[in-house]
Amino acid sequence: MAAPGLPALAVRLGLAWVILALIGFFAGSPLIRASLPLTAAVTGALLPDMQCELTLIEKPYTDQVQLTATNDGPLLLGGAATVPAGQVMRGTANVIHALVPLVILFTIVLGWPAANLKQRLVMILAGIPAAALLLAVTTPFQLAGHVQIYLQQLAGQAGVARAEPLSLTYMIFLESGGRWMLAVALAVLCVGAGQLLPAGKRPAAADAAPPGD
Amino acid sequence: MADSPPAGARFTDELRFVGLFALVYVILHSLYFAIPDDILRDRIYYHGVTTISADIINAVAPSEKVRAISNQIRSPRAALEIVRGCDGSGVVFLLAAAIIAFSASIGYKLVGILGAALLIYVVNLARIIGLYFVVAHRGEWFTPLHTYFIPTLLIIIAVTYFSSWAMWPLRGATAPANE
Repeated sequence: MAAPGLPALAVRLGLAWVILALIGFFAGSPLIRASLPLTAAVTGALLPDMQCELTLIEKPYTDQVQLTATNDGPLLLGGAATVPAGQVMRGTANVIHALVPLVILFTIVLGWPAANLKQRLVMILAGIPAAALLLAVTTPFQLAGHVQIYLQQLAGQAGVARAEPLSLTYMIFLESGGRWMLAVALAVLCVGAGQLLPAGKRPAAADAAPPGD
Repeated sequence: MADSPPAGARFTDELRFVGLFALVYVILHSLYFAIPDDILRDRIYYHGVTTISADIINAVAPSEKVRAISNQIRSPRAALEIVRGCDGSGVVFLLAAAIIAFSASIGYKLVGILGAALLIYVVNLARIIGLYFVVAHRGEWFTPLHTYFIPTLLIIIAVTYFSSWAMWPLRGATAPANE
């Protein structure tokens, strides 16, 4: 990656963070609501033996995405232990928690220097599928992970050892900082996509930082 | 611009950087999860986080009467528990992975990683102390701060630190016409 002017970069990242974090905090629910079909599709794929329903619940400070999962048939936990058909299980994710990777992604995309407006535009456009990808590989795993934790607890209570599902391992990875890593990695690729365009001459009104500051 | 690599080659470099960055992060995360809970809770968090945080809180606000108990900061007003992941390790791993993936000498990388660990340790102590006061006096602010504002701010601090580390050798050199 090219090295930007540090003071300008710090200010721009800080400003982008303030604006995006406040937008997300006060107006993030509609975005998460709009992404519910994608989240539901991935969650359903993670829990193929269950009927999954996602709803957005209003809460003070942050709304919540709630997963209600109902198993179609008996679920084998191990040994003779099973979960009877029709058992309702729930998982939740705060809207602001779901927005964390997106705020990181777009703060970097908007804050990192671009040589001209075309580069900036490509970075932002690349950020849109990156954001959808981030939503698809984070929130559904958190929701399904809660169901898997519940099943692990049931197995523990029944005294049987249930192997940790890969999706639960991945959820723990996400919740320990993996979601930040994914956001930063995708942001670097978005910036790189923008820099595929020729830098050209910096227009007077371009939003890039002056060189060498 | 005459000596800049072609855009395609730069993007290939960035793909290599991202791949190595992700790989190193996953390795560090796996090593971290190999540390037993009781060692984290009773040794590392007690000696490295809760005792120091409690001392600072009591020095700043003696009326809080805070005590460090294992991985908890307790007072008559609040209890804050430090669990795996609340120690700033995720951000340190991000920075270490980025620094390792970046093209630089081993010595310079070591300096960068040590600086990153020190910076994030101090920032994380400030975060924990701040969160204690939030829990004690403005409990309703805890979730937005803990799960949203502070993590995103920490990542932006980390990105700024990485950029300053990466550009340090370029100081004094002619600035590129385009960043």
